[in-house]
Amino acid sequence: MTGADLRARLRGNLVAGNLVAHAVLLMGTALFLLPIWLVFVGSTLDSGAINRGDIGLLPRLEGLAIYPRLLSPAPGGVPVWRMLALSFAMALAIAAGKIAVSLLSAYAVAFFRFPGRMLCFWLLFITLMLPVEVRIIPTFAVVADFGMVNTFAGLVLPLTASATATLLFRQAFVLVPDELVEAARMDGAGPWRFLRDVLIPLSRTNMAALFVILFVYGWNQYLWPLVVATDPRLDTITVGIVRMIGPESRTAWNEVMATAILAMLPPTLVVLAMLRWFVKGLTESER
Amino acid sequence: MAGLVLDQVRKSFGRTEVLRGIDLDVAPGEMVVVVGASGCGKSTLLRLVAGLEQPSSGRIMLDGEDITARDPAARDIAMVFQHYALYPHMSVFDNMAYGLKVRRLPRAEIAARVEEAAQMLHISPLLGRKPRELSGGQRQRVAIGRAVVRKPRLFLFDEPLSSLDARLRTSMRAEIKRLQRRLGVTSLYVTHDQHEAMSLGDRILVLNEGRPAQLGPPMEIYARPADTAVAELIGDPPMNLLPGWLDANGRVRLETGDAGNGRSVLVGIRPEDVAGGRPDGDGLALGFTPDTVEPMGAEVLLVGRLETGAAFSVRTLPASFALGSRLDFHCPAQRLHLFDPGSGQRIGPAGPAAR
Repeated sequence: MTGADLRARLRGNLVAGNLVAHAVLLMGTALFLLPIWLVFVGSTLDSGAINRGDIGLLPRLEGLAIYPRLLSPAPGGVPVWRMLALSFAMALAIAAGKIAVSLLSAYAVAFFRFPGRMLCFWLLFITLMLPVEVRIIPTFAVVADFGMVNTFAGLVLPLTASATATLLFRQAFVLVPDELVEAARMDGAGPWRFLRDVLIPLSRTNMAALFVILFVYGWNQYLWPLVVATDPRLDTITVGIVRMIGPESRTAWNEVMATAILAMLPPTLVVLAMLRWFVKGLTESER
Repeated sequence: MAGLVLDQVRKSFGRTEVLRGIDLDVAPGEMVVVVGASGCGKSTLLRLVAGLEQPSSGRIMLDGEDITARDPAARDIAMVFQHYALYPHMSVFDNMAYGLKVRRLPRAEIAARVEEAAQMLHISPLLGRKPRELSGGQRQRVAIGRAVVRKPRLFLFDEPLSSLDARLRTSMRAEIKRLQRRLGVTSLYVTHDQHEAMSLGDRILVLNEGRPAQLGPPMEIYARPADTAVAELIGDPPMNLLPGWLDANGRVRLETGDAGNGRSVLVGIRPEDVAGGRPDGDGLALGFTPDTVEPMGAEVLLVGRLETGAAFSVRTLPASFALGSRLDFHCPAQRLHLFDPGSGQRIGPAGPAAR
């Protein structure tokens, strides 16, 4: 077989392979998008149609008016804007808090020799097995003792520690060559300067990737906000959607679905905006 | 007393004693190269001087001040690392400027110093680049630049050329020497490469298992190695060390067998001190059967065995040698090195036979 033949055959295989790959990808995409599309279609119907189970695959264009209506701050209406803003603030605070806390604890564990260092590390590790859902009663008791029930701080603070992020940062820090640390010491950089001038810039991509994951995590919080904030002014969008669902016949399903669509937008936008950084953070390292 | 002074410096890690009492006196502007096999403690010695480790006992003085307990940043010492240790996210300029920024020098002064050092090291066009866009040689120049801009009282070099290819190593070696002379900064340079040690050092300190084996100018160490460890380390190809004895007349014999009333010794012969033919006078005759020829360019290295069965190598001018057959070589008596077989210490530049 000549080289040209071989190349042509390889290209043929490649085309066939690409077709299969694309078919699989398209199927996967459809599988993920179909429910979301149905929610969107449902949001444009009137609520009676949904109760009858009468949903097609095409949206009713005049039904789109529900979006401006939900987003307008009409008195007595559903405060969707408010809930979106609160969820956004909460997700942002949780992501930022988790990154700040885990960055510092990873720094301590990775670079400093202190008594009980490995104990600290393992304690952190163990908390991986204790998400909020498991420790919700003691956590609530603590937050209540601090008088933070029904406050924004109470919503955010118990979620700002992250063993996962700490471990990720620690792994990244352990890979920093000793020589670099020593060079910084010779240059006269103290621990804070080293963190600020060297470690944080080197961890930028890691931080971006973590931010995306943690923002979505924060946005999706449901149980904790439900428990700690009974004040309707502190309803997050996830809690709000559920509150909109009343007894079967009186639920405005089109409003629920439209709110669900709106609730999906901010995390999607964050992911899209950070996508390049996200991939970079997961795949490449600066070192 | 100025310069760098080490006074009985010891260092143990747990129960392992890595440095067993080092005394060293580096004069101002002098470059002392610390050389030794890996694990001899030479890197530890450098890290102690840098302040990255604390000695278990002993004192370190720089320009008359005791700096033993000082923080690395407060010692006014700059170090060039083996793997460059450049900050990957900073430009070349920022890498060189960082230490000065931390020390809060005025911005204009920083820029002037960096420009000057960059010019000296021929890296001015690279100032805006990131380390990953540089070749190994360029990175090492930046690392040296980072040390130079600090204008320290002492330079430390930790095998700075070992990650470069051979050719670059030779040219950078010359450049480091020129730079050090020009700046006149006292320097301590650690390497395992004896070529580097010979060509760079005003003096060489040979370390062996945490002890100073010999300290002196390169040619002196080459000419009179203090013990077998130094003899094997300095010189390339390494010195041949052969069991032998001094007979009653004080002549060196290689023949095995009873030393009689003579003294048993290790006879050191540098491959380049061997000449063809039988000895005239009191040289040592060597019946040598080469089995391999290693061309080295201007010379060749013959590797094989002596009549006594000992491995031996000869460095000589190229000629056609009959491999596998016995050839006559000799070594002049005054070129023999004698060592004590027990302690490895040098007994004499040559035995009494040299007379």
